[in-house]
Amino acid sequence: MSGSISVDFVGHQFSETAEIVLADIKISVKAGQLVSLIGRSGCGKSTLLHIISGLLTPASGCVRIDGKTVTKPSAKWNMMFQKASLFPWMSVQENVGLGLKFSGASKGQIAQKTHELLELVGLKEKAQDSTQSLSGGQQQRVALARSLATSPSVILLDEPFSALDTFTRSALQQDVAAICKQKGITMVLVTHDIDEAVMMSDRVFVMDQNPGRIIDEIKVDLAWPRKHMSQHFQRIREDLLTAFKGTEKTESFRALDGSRYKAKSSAA
Amino acid sequence: MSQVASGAEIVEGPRLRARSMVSGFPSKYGYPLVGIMILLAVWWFGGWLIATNDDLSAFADFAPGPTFAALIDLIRSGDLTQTIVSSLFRVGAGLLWGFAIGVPVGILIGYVLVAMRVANVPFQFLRMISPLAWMPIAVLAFETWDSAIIFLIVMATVWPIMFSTSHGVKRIDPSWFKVAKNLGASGTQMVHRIILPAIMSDVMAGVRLAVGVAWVVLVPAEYLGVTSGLGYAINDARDTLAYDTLAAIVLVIGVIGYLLDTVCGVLVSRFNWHQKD
Ligand SMILES: Nc1ncnc2c1ncn2[C@@H]1O[C@H](COP(=O)(O)OP(=O)(O)OP(=O)(O)O)[C@@H](O)[C@H]1O
Ligand SMILES: [Mg+2]
Repeated sequence: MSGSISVDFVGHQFSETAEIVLADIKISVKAGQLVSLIGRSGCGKSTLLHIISGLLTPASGCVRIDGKTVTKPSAKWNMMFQKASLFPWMSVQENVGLGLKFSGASKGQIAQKTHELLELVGLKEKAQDSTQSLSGGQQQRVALARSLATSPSVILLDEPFSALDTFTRSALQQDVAAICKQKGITMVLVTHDIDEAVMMSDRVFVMDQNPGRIIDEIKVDLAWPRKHMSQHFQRIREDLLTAFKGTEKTESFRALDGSRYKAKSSAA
Repeated sequence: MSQVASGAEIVEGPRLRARSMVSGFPSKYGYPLVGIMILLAVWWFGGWLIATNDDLSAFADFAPGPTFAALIDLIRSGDLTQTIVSSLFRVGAGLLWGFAIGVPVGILIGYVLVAMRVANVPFQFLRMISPLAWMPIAVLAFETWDSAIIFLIVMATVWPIMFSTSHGVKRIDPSWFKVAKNLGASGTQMVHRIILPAIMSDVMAGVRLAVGVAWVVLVPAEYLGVTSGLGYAINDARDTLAYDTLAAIVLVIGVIGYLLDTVCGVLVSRFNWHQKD
């Protein structure tokens, strides 16, 4: 299985004079593992993900995927963003097949693969539709299918569900984790949502800021598929909250934890 | 791209259908037909007023009857085709140049902020000058009448194309570049699959505006030395007091202008992917 990632002492600042955004980040992820990065807004999560994807070159250190240093983006490791960013002049199907088209695949191959993926994400009937007629959740599903089309060994997700409603988000969390497990894809997920991190990953890295660094790692040894209400789930969530507490100033901690979190668990 | 069009129709669908249930045929052909009838009636009535007024009766040939008779003569003799071809050639050449200059410059000022800042005032200034105001300069600067006329049309077409193109470029979502790069797009694939389709609907909207202005500018521009084209034909008919021919040419100008705009409208919606509100 391919798709192991090693981030070796990556540091970054956007210019010589700017503040240090990332300092000495060291992570290694085994092929097929699902990991999450959580941390306060602005701690450098997106920056780190961009560096892993090759969209951004780190000021120091390097990222290796399957032992090879990442120097530029590649369809072998795909990134998904908060916005689906579908191409509105293409149909759903054409969006999904775009990566394959770029790589020069034949029409037949593209048709077969897009069909298979749209079935996987549950949008087979929408193949010919305009992307603008889709709901937010459906658009993210198309973006997911588009990312999977080039058969990547790694997918990098930058808060891909944060704009979705609770039900849609929860369904997509389950689906993405299941697809990654099934296909043996390594996943790195950036999220603000502690539930989401526990729901979707084998390991959770907690980041602190100024400069952005990893201060803790929590293992999530829950069986798949995961259920919110289990005792074990709650315990790991508590662990994460405690780790998180270290990174937060008290007032902002409450905003992140208290209100939103309680509302959710009481609803469940 | 055809899928996008069909998607747009789906969005439009319910509204159109709801209307067509009440009145299917009228909404498509009926209403325009009524409009045309009213126009013809006004024309006919005007002709009748002129004919019955002793002071004006010399102009009675402007009425629909003589006009259509003259039109048929024009078509039969083949003169009309020749006239239209010369005019369309000038408009086409002017449009082509306007496109060739307007699109690249539009991309530049849409993409490079500094270029926009530098170019904005001069271009807005130039844009506001009637293309016809360049006439004396065009006559001095170009050797042939034809190139002078084409120059005037370029001065009319380049601005709308340029400004719509830069507008289109500014509307490109930067995350499309990220996604495309991530999916392994090469430089040419980026231009061909992402940038061009992204701006095409705006470019075509600019072309549509340009065609409208070019067609309006063409007739007075053809009053210049040339001996062919619709503008020349109008001038010639006036000088020979052939008012029926003059009216027939006016009719032809209107019809061709309408057709050109319709074609452009089809192209605009063919390339348009923007959500309809
Ligand atoms: N292109 C850039 N140029 C300069 N500074 C940047 C740039 N992108 C991000 N930064 C800075 O780097 C820091 C980390 O940003 P980043 O987007 O990685 O944070 P994040 O953890 O993803 O935050 P969020 O959770 O809000 O998305 C921030 O202080 C931000 O202002
Ligand atoms: Mg971010």
